[in-house]
Amino acid sequence: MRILVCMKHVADSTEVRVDPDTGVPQLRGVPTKISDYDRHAVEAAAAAREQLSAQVTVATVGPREAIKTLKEALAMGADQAVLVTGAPAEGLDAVTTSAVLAAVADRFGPYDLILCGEASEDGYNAQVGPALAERLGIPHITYAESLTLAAGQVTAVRRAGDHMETVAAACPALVTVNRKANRPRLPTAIQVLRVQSSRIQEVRPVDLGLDEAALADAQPTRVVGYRPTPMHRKGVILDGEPAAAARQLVAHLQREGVLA
Amino acid sequence: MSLSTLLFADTAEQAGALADWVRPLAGAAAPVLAAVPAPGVPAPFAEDLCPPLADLARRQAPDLILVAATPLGRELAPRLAVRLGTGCVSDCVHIGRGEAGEVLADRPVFGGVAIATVAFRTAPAVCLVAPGVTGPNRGESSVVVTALTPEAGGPGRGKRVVQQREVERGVDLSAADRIVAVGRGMARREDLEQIRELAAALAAEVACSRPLAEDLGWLGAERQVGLTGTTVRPALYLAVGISGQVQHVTGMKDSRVVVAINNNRAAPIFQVADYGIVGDLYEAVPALLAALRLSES
Repeated sequence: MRILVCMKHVADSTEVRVDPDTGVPQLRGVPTKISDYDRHAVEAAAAAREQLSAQVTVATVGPREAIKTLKEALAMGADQAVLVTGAPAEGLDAVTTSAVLAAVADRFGPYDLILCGEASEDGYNAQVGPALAERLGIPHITYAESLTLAAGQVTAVRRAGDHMETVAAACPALVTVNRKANRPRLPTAIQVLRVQSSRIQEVRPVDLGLDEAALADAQPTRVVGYRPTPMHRKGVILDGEPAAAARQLVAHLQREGVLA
Repeated sequence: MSLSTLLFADTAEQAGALADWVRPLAGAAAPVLAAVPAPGVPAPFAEDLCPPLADLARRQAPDLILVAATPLGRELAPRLAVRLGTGCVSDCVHIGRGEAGEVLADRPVFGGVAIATVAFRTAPAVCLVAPGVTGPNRGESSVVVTALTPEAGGPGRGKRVVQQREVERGVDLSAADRIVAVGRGMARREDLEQIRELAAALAAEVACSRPLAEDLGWLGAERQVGLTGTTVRPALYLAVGISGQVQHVTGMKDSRVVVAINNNRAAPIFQVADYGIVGDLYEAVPALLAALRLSES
């Protein structure tokens, strides 16, 4: 059994601030990290590796700093990693990313199972999984809250609106994993540091048979501007000792008419 | 110049809501074509609906394909974009046209603190729009509905629903008038009792930020507010010990009155609050309880 986990190296969204006037995200100096949802995808693969002797490859399309994310996945138990560099610094749109990942799957596969996080932490488009499955001509199961692998079949429990469903798909299949799916193991900093860089294979799109210039220029979508989300808030700060501040607050809330 | 539009929704009712929303762009003159899954196929798969929808799109050659962002639509739209050799934008809140006639789609990014405008270079533009954004079907648009029969034998073969069950319905935060939400500022699980007491005094529901539900498990997922939890719009939202990370703010920014209690004056929650108390929640919460009781007596 061979498993591919697709990952994303992201700006830590808890640290991202936007310019209050222009709405442009200030990304310089913001720490970068593994997208949290992807930890759950790696955990699911690492568990399959232990239970079914699955062989696990992790892959990402991103800057060289993404080595950090791949090393974390390797420390969690993946066997090998593929880093596709050479994409524009601002990243690729989801549909184009799925084309690069499909080329990775073709070049290093075939894989019985492809795992992704339900979405990325930064963009939360939730497009790459289904788009990649479409390119590979395989079924997908999204937002899996648990998954089991047996006899060439993956079975997952997911929420679809107001009901839960259990869905089975014959491998090869793609599953996007929800944060409820498992508790990702936490490798120590030492374990991550000890991961040998030689286990990470760096390739460029051209190595995968893709035209690099066309890849960036022919992206179907691109961000052309930002603006701040309008927030009309009063911003009244109630200073002073707790009892006085609390009394003032209650008076304000009574005036607003929001108390029961 | 109006945008020729094709709609996809789970139901004809939902398609009508999409049509009303897009009417200023699509123009009122011609009826809008909408595709919905053929009746009689319970829980059709996106894999099987994608080929017939792509065929329809090729025949119609619309500028814009608007997809209702339901669990099915969210799976279908990226597949459709790949099949049509175009792009897809999730969670659109506005659609317009650029100077060169290109479709421009606005969507919230980084958890909703900013709105990005995304330009399409390819046609058709596939855009997902949440039912909460379109609002209800006002019946103002003329819609021609066509039923899509899922195509067997594609990637959906070998996929099946083994079992279905209703989700046990507990608290529904999206319907709450008042909410007291608690975050990482709370040091111990047993201190939640103080929050429950405050919520009871306000006739409010108790909610929480992501760490308390997902990482600590102190409250259930049904009480989590934010991008990965529930989106709420109460009259009063009281955030206690919540820093106001973007994921959280996305889920509560449409509340009518927002109050924040936090010991860090620089916490982003104060930027989205109408009233703020800077201080230790272990002092502020009992003080607020006392003030509420005083005001009642």
